[in-house]
Amino acid sequence: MMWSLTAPVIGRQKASELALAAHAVPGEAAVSAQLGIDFGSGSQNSSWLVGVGMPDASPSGSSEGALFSVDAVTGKATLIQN
Amino acid sequence: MKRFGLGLAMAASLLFVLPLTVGGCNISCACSVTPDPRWTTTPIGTGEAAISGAKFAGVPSMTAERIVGPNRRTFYSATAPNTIALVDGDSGIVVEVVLEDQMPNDGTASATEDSVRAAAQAFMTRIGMTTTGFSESVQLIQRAGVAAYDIKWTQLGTVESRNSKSWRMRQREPPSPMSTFE
Repeated sequence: MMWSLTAPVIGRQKASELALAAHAVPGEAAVSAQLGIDFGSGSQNSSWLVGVGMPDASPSGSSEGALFSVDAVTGKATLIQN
Repeated sequence: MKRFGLGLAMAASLLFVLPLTVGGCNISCACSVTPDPRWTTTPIGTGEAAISGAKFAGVPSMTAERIVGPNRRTFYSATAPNTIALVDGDSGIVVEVVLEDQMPNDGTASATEDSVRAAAQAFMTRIGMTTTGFSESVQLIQRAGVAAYDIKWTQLGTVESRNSKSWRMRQREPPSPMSTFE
């Protein structure tokens, strides 16, 4: 019985750093980070959805400018919405 | 619930011989399974999956939903704040638990090997498993800017292979005390 599981190893803070580094916009900060696990490819894919944006005066204190998917195993950051 | 109790007992028995990976307190059974001869699979529902996931994760309760798992297998994703557990729907086995707040975030190993080894043993004890009769190895791994310890138990007398019986645990630092396993 093969389950093709690969446990995620990269934490929220590191994933946020990787997304910010990939976007490379000075002054931006991570405003959200949510870990998701799916098996759409047949094996486990664990990734952080990280929203990055500029701190502002909105009620939440920031606004999301871009959304990245950060692989929680390899650390690869992919821009999925800008 | 009686069936569930029986299922749990059998799951523990099977898990004892499963390859098990614990990463930053994520547990993952990622390899081949050598079924216990006494094992009889018992499909479970969302409620049972939620209870099983919570016991392994050490949280009071979880909410489970059915998902399509690896190789189109029926799985349940059980969630609680900062916690995810994956439960096999056909057997009821908890195959992975991710404690998001305890995942590695930097490349520095802040814990000593001895403390990590003790944390791993404590985790196994909490979920009702023993490592007696298994040999233990500890390895520091570094990947994508994070460091983690990989603790592996291999059953004595077996040659490690894809089908070997082994457990692994990765730990950046000793976890905070977890609740007692019922």
